[in-house]
Amino acid sequence: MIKKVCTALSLLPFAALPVSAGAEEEAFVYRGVIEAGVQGVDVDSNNSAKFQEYRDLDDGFIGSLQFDALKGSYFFQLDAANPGLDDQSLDVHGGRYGKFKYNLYFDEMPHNYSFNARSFYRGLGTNHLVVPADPTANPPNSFETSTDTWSVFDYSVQHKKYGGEVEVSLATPYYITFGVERREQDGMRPYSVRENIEAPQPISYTTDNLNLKAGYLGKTFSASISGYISSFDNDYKYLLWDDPSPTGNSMANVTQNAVTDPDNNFSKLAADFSWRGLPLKSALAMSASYANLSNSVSANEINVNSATMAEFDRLNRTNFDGDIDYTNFSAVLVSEPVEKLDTRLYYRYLERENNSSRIFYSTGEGDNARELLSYDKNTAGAELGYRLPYRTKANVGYEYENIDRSTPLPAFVEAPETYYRYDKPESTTNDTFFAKLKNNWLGWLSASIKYKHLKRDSDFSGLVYDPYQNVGVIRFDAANKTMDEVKLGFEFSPFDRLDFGVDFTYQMNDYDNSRESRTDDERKNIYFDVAWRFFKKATLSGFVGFEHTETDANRITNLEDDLAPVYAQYVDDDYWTYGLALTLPDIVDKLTFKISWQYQKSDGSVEYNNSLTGTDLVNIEDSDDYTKQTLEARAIYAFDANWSVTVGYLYEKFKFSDIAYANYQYILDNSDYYSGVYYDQNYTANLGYVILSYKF
Amino acid sequence: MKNKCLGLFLLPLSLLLLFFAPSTGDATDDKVADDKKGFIGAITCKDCHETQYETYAKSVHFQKYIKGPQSQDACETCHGPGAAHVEKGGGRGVDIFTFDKNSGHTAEEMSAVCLKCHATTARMTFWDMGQHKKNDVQCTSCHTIHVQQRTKVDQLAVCFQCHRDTKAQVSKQSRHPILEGKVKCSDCHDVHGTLSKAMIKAETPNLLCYTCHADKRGPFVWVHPPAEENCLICHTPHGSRHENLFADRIHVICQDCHDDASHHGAAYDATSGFGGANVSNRFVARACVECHHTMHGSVNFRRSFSR
Repeated sequence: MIKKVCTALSLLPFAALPVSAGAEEEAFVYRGVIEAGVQGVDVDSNNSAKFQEYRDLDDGFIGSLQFDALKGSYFFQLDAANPGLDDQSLDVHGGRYGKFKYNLYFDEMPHNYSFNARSFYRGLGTNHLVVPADPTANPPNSFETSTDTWSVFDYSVQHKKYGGEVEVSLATPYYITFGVERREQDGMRPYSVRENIEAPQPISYTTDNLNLKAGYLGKTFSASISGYISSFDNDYKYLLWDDPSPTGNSMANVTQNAVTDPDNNFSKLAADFSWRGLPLKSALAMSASYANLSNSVSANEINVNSATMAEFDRLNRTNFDGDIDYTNFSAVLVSEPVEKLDTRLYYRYLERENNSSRIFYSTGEGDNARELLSYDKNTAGAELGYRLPYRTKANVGYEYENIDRSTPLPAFVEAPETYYRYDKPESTTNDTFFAKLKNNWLGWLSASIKYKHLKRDSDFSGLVYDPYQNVGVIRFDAANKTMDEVKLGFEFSPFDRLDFGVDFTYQMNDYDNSRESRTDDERKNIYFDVAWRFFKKATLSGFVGFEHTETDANRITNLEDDLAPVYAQYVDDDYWTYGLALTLPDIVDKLTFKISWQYQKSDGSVEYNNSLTGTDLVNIEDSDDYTKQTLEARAIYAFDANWSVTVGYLYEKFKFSDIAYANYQYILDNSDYYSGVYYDQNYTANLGYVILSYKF
Repeated sequence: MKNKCLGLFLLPLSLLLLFFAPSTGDATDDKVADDKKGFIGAITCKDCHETQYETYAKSVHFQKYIKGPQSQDACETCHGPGAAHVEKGGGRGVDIFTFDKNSGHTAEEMSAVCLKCHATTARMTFWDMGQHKKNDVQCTSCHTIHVQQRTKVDQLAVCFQCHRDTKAQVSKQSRHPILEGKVKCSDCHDVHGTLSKAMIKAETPNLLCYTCHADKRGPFVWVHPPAEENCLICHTPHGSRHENLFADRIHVICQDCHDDASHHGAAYDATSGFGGANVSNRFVARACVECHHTMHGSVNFRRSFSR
């Protein structure tokens, strides 16, 4: 199907040819840039995946091409970057002004998770992980006890995206757009085939997307209808793996089956319209859509041994038909009923209805009916803005948001020990109020202050929401809470060539009634930047960012025994970043110089207050701590208007420290097996390049 | 394979043929509106503003085939009639419409100039409803008009002028490939206005995330309700100190809902790491995910805890 669509798309430009036949000749204008060069990379690291996370930086040739052409009303633009590398891209735009345009693209990108990982499994990258025979082991078919003989591999997934889109309007108010796209992912991602056996999951995903839109664009009225179809296919829906069962029990080397991501089909139909020029200087916009997500999975496909076959005999059904509907309606009305006053009224409705199959065992030992989540979300709001004297604008607003959740069976059972995470709040209501004042009377100084207050109330079915009863844990994202937030902003331009900007945010969340789980969190963020343009075109810019987060929680360890918090936990995270950039065009004749530097520091800790029970807990001092320094310098010398050479240098140093990865072990207690994902990501990298450019 | 080769051959061929086909040159009326009061024509403007004129002449606005300045009143299409400006000897903003932030014009007035032509484009359908208009962002806050043919916005430079928090976040150790240009701000947000929250290009965050993360769509037999409801409960989109764009340290974010029974609420402290006195396989490496790897949902019919 996708091939037929691609072929049809490629022929579309032919269709426009008769329109232009016989027309007068116009001058052909073209311009572009060709770049070619070499780069050398030196990376000091045992696992340079973090350095290469989304890019392909290696010794070799580099290049790019930009080509623009104009001929009368026709235009053509081509961009190609990093040809032959894993992050290459090709982008073509073209068309005829006022009539049609098209876009074709191919984009590739690696996602490198971790290099030099290890696993005792063989068959990595396939959907059957096998345990090699180890003659020294007892029993002989158990796993390899020495990591020296384990397989070494990279956790990496290559992403490819290619497709095209055509928009035709033929100089009328009507237009139609049509696009196709394919996305592919291939490689290996970290997975756990069984508890604490980390192994690579083979990835081979294909997603085909098709979209079609037709619309009308008038001066006061516009409308469109659109359709979207997306099909996801996973070549490895199941991952067979031999259970090493190091304890030598009866399951040793029995092939098991891990079930990965299911295929699915997503389709959506939408209609939008907007109407300007209504009374009271109003404009109204509405959008409605219906979408369906479906799939079909058979339990028989995962019957790989007698144990699972026997287990599935007790199922009420062996086919799962996934079926989720999304219905959406949104409307916004903006008006200016009187001079200087603007209003905005909006309403959004979203219904997610999960009609997927109920699966349960005949013995009643499990049922997904407590998890098949459906919900309705209603959001309504009103905002007023009024322009006061001295270029001051005041805004106030209120928003009501309600989420009603449901599952085929109640997720809550009236007994303390069953209060699990999926004990859902049936209804959550957020009431949000904000007020904002902004002034830029001075022109060169703009200042704003915004206050936001949110009050959340949740209704847990059958549960008396009382912190002093044994209600167990309340999921933090839906727990009753009060949020207060203050934002300050300044934009300061004392001179024509100097700009400052500062943003400050303080936010406090108080989970009013939570006795266990998260009780409060506090955030303070400040960002500052400056840009100074001096001489003719030189620019010096700087940036500072600081984020501080504190999250407090009370923890219990076992609800059945601990009806009161056992310990308190305080998470404290700081993040700093600052940088400078200098651009000196024509520093001397024909020479441009650019240099930038950035420093990041992340410092986290987890502290405990164990006075509740006297338990001796030790604070965590290195919680996702890291520093990163980046220095980039570039000199560009222009020989003439066409030829130039660029000499560049990049330095990066990344140092990571976290308690969960310190003193890393691949085998823990002869029962847990780790593959080294995210282990030892530190790197120091130097990269140099020379690029010759020809501009035409 | 044959079909693929055929498509690969036809596509560039058809594009080339189309490109070299003669054009009609009749798209718009290019006559100069020289009979309007107060209009002086672009040549007069060029006398003083040569640099600006040169960039204009290389821009898409200079195209006579589109309904734009060149097919109307050139410079004065956007800046208004220039006669009074010339009579007073010129000067910044003297009897001429400019788009400087110190010009005294409101954002709405400045955007209105652009919207005379651009209001009837598909991408501007919801401009009136968007947060940018509401917060006095005008077209020239992001778009530089006097540029060469290419009109693509350098999104990192432009968006980070105001969104300083995002600028700090996208360079964190865990992030989307935004700095590499593989994910653009406009892939997720429609900056020209939407009816959705945060101007995202979908009805909900999840439906947006599923565009790229189609493997997380499900539908699943066993469901993790918060993952079905909102990806942003556990993940932060622009960048995080924590791996996999987690909003917090993984064992902390899981415990914020799961500390009710069994090992969920156990205290994992500095002695729980590799080599620690109380090393725990529930804390080291990827922590909870080492066992509960199907946190987005699963279609395994087995009712085991790891599914």
